Amino acid sequence: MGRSLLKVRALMRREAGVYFLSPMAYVFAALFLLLTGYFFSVMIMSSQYIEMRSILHNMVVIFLFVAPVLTMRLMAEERRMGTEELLMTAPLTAFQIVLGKFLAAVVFWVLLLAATAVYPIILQVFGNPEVIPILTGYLGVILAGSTFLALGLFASSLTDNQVIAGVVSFTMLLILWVIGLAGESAGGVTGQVLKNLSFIEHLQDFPKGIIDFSDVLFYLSAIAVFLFLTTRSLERRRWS
Amino acid sequence: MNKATGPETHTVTLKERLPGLLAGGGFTLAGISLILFFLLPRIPWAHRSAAAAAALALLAYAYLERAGLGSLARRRSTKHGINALVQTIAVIGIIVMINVLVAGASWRLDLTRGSKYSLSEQTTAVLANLDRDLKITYFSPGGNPGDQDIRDLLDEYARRSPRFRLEVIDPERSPSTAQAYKAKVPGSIMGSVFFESGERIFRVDPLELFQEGDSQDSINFAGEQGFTRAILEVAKDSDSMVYFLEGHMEQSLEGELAGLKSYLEGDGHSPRSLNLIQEGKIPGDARFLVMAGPQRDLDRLEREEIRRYALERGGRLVVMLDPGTEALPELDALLGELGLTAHQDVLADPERSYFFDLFSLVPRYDWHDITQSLIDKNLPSLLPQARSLAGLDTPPAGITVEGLLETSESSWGETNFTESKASKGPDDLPGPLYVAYAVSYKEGDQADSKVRPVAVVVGTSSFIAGEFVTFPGNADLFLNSIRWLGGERELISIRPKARTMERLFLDPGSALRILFLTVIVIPGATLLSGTVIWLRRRNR
Repeated sequence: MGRSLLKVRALMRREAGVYFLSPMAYVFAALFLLLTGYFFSVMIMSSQYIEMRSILHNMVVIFLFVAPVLTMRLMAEERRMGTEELLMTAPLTAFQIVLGKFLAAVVFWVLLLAATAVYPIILQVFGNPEVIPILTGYLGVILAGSTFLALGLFASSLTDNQVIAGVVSFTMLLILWVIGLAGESAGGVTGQVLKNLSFIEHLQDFPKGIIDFSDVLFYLSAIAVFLFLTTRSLERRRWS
Repeated sequence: MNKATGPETHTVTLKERLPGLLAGGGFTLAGISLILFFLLPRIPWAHRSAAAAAALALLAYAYLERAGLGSLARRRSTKHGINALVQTIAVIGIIVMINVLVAGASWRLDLTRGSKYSLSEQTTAVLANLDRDLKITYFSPGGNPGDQDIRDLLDEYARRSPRFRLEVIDPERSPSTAQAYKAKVPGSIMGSVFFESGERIFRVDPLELFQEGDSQDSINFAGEQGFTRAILEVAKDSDSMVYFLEGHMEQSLEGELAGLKSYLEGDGHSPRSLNLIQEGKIPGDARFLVMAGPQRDLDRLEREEIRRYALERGGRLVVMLDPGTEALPELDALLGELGLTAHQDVLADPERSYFFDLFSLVPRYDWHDITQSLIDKNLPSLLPQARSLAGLDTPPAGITVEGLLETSESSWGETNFTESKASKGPDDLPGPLYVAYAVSYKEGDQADSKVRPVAVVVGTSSFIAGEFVTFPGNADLFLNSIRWLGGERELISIRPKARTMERLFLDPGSALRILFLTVIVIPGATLLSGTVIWLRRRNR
């Protein structure tokens, strides 16, 4: 177990390194921070309420657009460049490869969020915000974003074309995002099921300061499913 | 299974078939669980136990096939296809099952200051015992923390009861719905929450939900108090009957009190007229008996029946007496039983009156459960043509009276009804004088016997008649009296939650600096470091 963890860590480092050395990741990080920064400033200047709820929601919405870009190359590029062969012949299981790449993306996401910690600090300087809802809010945002990344990774494993991978993951994310709205209008049990599938629905409670175990489980399950599917997709190619 | 004693071949077959059976059974059970979930959503254990059985079967399958699942990674696969698909579905199926199982159990950690989202035991019990569907309609003004508080709290209610159907409506987007509600219940629509069950409707006024807190920027949110009370009012078994006595030239429900009637209905009550002479007794379902300004005296039997109702049968009275020249001995006797006496006067108050009309009092509120919200919200009441009341020096056993409304020092009780111009004379009663009292009664004389509200007595009925009921504090004064009498304050012992309305106070300079930092510096620095790294890599 220890050895395989080390392998995953090594791969994760390599992949994270790729992020931090690619200019594209910086461009998107800058865009993300620009948009969230703008929303934050406008919010505190107009409403003047000391809270992070709306801004945390905005972050996730913006990340919905960024996540496909961050993940689209993860699998597809290896395949296009032919480096997949190298990876495949390395003494790593398919799952270890998938996990390593996923964790690298999560590290990038968490560091990106760390840059937004400036906002609650600003609130702290000028007022007295309630700390715990901000922390639980960030937990929810990390979980939701990680789910986006797992989905993006899966989409990336389906094709060797980065752009297609990006479009596919964005479309899937969008559907899973708005499915709750469809649920709202459908009503009844069908509506309830659709709402429960929605990525946005499970995010509501975190920024309030509530941790609902079923929400945490939902995101972890969604991550597990997509990582599993990615592993399957990788295995299929490995031996076909 | 291995111990099966049948022929060798049979054992092998069963062993081989078991995983298939388990998988098939698992999926069938999952299907059944789904069907049960749709058909019997009210019986959660049905679909949950089916789901649990399905999960067990699939887990057992996964265990038996662990070799296959484990070797999956290593398997050279052409025959992979079907197997892989089944395994994939199985894994996803198990994960979905676990989620469905957990979704039912509410494992929530409320980490907010003062557990903002945790409902009291009382509310939880009320929601658990709901035996009818409730429709809740909230006309949301949108975009302020108060609105957010109300929505969050209603969401918590909805989460705990499948019978709680919540609809949040933007009145500007659906004006027809707003119009429909406007026709049903008096008062403003915007921000109101309507609780409905069958014919009953109850309006919760947003102003009732927010009270001033201890410090300047803090606000107490009494949403749970308001909503749970509304549920109790709407979902109770019997109507809350409010009988208005007639037969003594009182204000009538169909006439002068029509406005008040709809206020009462909006508060979950059913107002009816009662002619005691004809009926002979006060009906058993009478929760309240209102005497709205009788001009003629009661019959002796009526007085005795009312006394028994109030003091022996746990009834509650609202007595409103208008100034008059005629002596009404039976009514006076009834007041005496309540520890009060009404003076033969009409109150004049040069200091606290409405637009220089000496006789239109705007009295001071004494602190009491009834007046508290009026004091908090700074809502004045207007009492035109009122007489003064006083507590007896030696009230009957068990009776306590508390003054509610008081006139100013410079007021007086005018006793000369024929004088053309009112002025304070030697025969007049000197102010300050009381216009309204709350009466409590302690049944029995044991130390532990309970004190309960028994009557509210006001020296005028005109404040709820005709248009006066729409004066800012008037309807609330009456409704609060009814609520206090109904003991609803005790019923709802839910503490309001203090919430500080934190606001940022930014000077333009700081605002600009924040904008600069978040929109230019941070993204700029990110972009810059990206550029540096890119350049360094290129030049390497």
